[in-house]
Amino acid sequence: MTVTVRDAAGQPVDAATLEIQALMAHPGMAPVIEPAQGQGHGVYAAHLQFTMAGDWDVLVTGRLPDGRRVRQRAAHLSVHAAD
Amino acid sequence: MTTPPSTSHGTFQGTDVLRWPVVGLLLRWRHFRTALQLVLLAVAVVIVVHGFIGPEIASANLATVLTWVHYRGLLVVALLAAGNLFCTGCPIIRVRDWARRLHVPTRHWPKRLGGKWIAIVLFAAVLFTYELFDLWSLPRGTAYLVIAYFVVAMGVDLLFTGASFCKHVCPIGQFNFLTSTVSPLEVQVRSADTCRSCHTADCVSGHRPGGRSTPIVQRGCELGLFLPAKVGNLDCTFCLDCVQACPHDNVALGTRAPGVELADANRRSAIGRLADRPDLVVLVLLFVFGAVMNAFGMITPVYRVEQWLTTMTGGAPEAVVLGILFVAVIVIAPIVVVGGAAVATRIVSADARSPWRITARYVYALVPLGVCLWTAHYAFHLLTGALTVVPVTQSAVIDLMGWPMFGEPLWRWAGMRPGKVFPIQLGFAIFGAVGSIGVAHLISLHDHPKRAVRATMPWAIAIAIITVAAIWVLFQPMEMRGVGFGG
Ligand code: SF4
Ligand code: SF4
Ligand SMILES: [Cu+2]
Repeated sequence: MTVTVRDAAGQPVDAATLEIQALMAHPGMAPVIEPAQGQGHGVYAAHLQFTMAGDWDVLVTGRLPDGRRVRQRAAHLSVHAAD
Repeated sequence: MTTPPSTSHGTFQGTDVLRWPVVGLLLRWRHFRTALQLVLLAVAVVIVVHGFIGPEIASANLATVLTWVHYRGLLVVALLAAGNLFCTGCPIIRVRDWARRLHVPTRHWPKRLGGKWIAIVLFAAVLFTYELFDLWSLPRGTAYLVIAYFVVAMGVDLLFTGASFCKHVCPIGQFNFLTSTVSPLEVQVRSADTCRSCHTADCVSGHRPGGRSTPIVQRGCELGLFLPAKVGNLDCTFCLDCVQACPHDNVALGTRAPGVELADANRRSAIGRLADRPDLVVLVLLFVFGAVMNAFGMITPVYRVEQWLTTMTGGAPEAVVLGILFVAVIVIAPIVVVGGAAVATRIVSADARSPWRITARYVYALVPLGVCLWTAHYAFHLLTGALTVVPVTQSAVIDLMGWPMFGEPLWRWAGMRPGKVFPIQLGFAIFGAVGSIGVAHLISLHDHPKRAVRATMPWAIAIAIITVAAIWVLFQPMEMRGVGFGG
C-alpha cells in the first residue's frame, strides 16, 4: 500500500522516516509493521502481509525530516479470509 | 446462638495459607484488601481516562488492552491458581465503602427480587452487547462499561445492606463465584469444635469486642456465610472479613480438592442445596454455553452463519440475527444436550426424579468444563497479547508528556504466536472435560451408588459433545471485527 505525505501548504514531503503499522480491531493481537520506502513526490510504499482475517487500523508512524513525530490513522481495512 | 454445623468437612486437614511466612502475614494484614483495591482502582482510573482521551484504536488504547487482554486473563489465572482474588481486590467495593461512610443503607435485599435472576439477565446482556457492539474494539465503550459497573453498584449498595450487588447483581461476581468452585483455596474453619463452643458467630454478625450491645468494629460476612455451615467457595468474595472478625482465630484460607464441592449435596449457609436453586442451574448453563458462544464470536464461521441468517430472515437487523444465534447456542443447545442427558440418566439408572430434578443435581458437573473453556479463550488473549501493554503505555506517556519518558514504543512486542497457544487451549478443553466427567461421577457415586457408571454415562456424552464443539471452534481461523466495518 502507499501513502502520500504533504505539509500544511500541500507540498509533498520526502525524506521522512516512516513505517506502516496495521493494528487489529481486537486488542492484544500482534501488529503488522513494515518500513515505508520513499518513492519521491511524498509517496511512501510498504508491503503488508496480514496475519489474520478481520478489521485492521492502518497507521503511518515515524518522523518527518524536521524531527516531528507522526502517528496518523490512514485507513480501516476489512480483511476477509481467502476462500 | 450457634446452630450445630451441618458442614461436610469436619476439622480442616489441608494447608492454611494464612499461616505461611510472608504470604500469610500479608493476607492477614488488616489493610490487605484495601491495598489490593487501591491498585485495581488505579487501573480502573487509567482505563476510564485513556478510554476517553486516548486514541479510538482498540490495540493502542489502555482501556481495551487492559480490560480485554489483561484483566479477564489474569482474573481466570488467579482463580485457577489460588482463588477469587479479583473480588478481594474489586475497586468498586472500595469506592462503595467510602460512599457508605456518607450514607448507610438500611434496607435488606428484597426476597422477591430473588437470588441470582437479575445477575443472570445482566450476564446474558453483557455477553450479547459485547458481541453486538464488538465492545473489544471500542475504548470509549469499554470505559463506559466500567463506569456503568461503578454506578449500578453504588446505586444497589447504597440502597441495600451487605454485599447485595456482589451477591445478586454483579455478572463478573457470578463468573468468579462459579469459577472459584474449582479453585485450590477455600475460606474455611480450622476446627469445627471451636465453632461448636462459639457463642457469638462474629464471622457472620461482626466482631463486637465489648459484647453484644457494643458497636461492631469489624464487620462479618457481607454475603451472609456462616463459616461452620459454609460449603465451598460459592458466594465467597475472598474478602477475608471473617478472618478478621473471628475472635478465636478459627478461619483458614485452606487448600482443598478443586471442584469436589460441585458434587456436594449438603445445605450451604446462605445458599441452601445447589439442587434447590433453579437460578444457579440457569446460571451454570449460561456460564458453560456462554463460553462456547463467546469463543464462537471471534472466528470466521460466525460471520458466515450471520450472513446466512440475514439472508434467511430477509435482511433482519444484526441485533435480531445475533439474537437468533444466542437463543440457539445458550437456550436450545443446553435444553437438547443437558435435557437429553437428564432423560437418559433417568432411564438407564432408574432414577425416579423428574428430568428437571436430575438436571438440577448434575448440571454443576459442567462447571469445570465451562471454566476451562473460558480459560482457553482468555488465556489465548493473555498469552498472545500480554506484552502489548508495554508499547501502548509508552505511547500513552508520549501523548501525555510530549516526550518518550519510557522510551520509544516497542510496537512489535505482543506475546506468544497464536499457533503456539493452540496446544495449551486444547489441553485446557480436555482437562476441563475430564474434570467435569469426574464431578459427574462423584454425583453418581452419591446418588446411584449401585449404578454409578451407567448414571454418569449420559453426562460423559453430553460433556464430550460440548467439548468437541468447543475444540472445533478453537480449530477455526480467527476473524475479529470491529464496529462500523460491515462485519
Ligand atoms: S466466629 Fe469463628 S469460632 Fe465463631 S462460628 Fe464463626 S468461625 Fe467459628
Ligand atoms: S467474610 Fe464471607 S465472603 Fe468474605 S472471605 Fe469470609 S466467607 Fe468469604
Ligand atoms: Cu476473543
